[in-house]
Amino acid sequence: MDDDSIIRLYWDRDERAIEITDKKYGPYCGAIAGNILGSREDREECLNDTYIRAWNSMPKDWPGRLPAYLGRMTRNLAFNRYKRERAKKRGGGEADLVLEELSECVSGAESVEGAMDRRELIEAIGVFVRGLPENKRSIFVRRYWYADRVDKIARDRGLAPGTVSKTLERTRKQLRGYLTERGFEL
Amino acid sequence: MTREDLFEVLGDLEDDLVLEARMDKRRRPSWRAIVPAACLCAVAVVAVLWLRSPPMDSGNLDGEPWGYNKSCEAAPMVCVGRGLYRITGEQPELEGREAEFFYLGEISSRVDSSQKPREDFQANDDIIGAKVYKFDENIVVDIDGKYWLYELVYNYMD
Repeated sequence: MDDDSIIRLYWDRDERAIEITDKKYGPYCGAIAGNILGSREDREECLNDTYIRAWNSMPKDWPGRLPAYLGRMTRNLAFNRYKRERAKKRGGGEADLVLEELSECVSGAESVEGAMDRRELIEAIGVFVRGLPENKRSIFVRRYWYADRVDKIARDRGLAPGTVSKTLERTRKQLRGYLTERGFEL
Repeated sequence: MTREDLFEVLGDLEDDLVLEARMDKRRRPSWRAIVPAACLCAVAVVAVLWLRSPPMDSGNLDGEPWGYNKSCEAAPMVCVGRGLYRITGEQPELEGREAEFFYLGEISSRVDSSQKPREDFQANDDIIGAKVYKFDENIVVDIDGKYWLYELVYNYMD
């Protein structure tokens, strides 16, 4: 079934929408949740939360790209769950390592910026990522959006894990420099 | 800014960047990997051709192309989209690669294990209800929560 037909089911309040979403995009969203959370149980619960949120939001939204819409929803829900679990000292998936790497780009101080600054920061990061060569861009997005493991990215691209790690390290430095030059207080 | 803030901000990357990286999730070996692999393949192909000494007309096994071995009929197979897929001997690690799967449907019928499945979503194994996903040119079947890779061995449309 094409994506517009699935969205139509949500709009028509037809419960088959969830079943079809699970079949078509369950593995995709499940992989994102699994990367961030680690455990299969948490992944399944996060997937269920995604479907509930999609069910509640779809009569208002008509996503232009359904997989990205669902994937983003899953990522946000998984990360919120990760933060709750971490507060209880329960381990996460790849998120611990991803956050450790990202800490090189920021000061760690609590932000006081408003919604406008955040919007500008999102746009600046978007411009930066879009300007990267295709190979670096894919590696960066897979690591910091999908939270994919370094060895998995390396395997898929036929590279050594060390090469991927080096590429990510250089890109993080570039990102920090790019944002600092533009006046963002990280 | 905390690292958690940055992770959340990165979550707002535009859809096309996110989906482009999703499409990247297939293996692209470097030339350094391709050259030795190609040499090994060439040696293997020559060895197989020499050992099997195929007939000149290549006709065998109900008119199926040479290279389709009758012995594979005993192996678990499924027919999906007019393609016959056989379970691979060496199973790769598929856990965590779900983002590369594309859902096709469920196994809906079966034939005896000594037969080849010929109808869409048919297996020669008792796996009715198993979910089938496209995975590159092959398929993955979810059997009781574990993913199994099946390779394309024959296309009924050829």
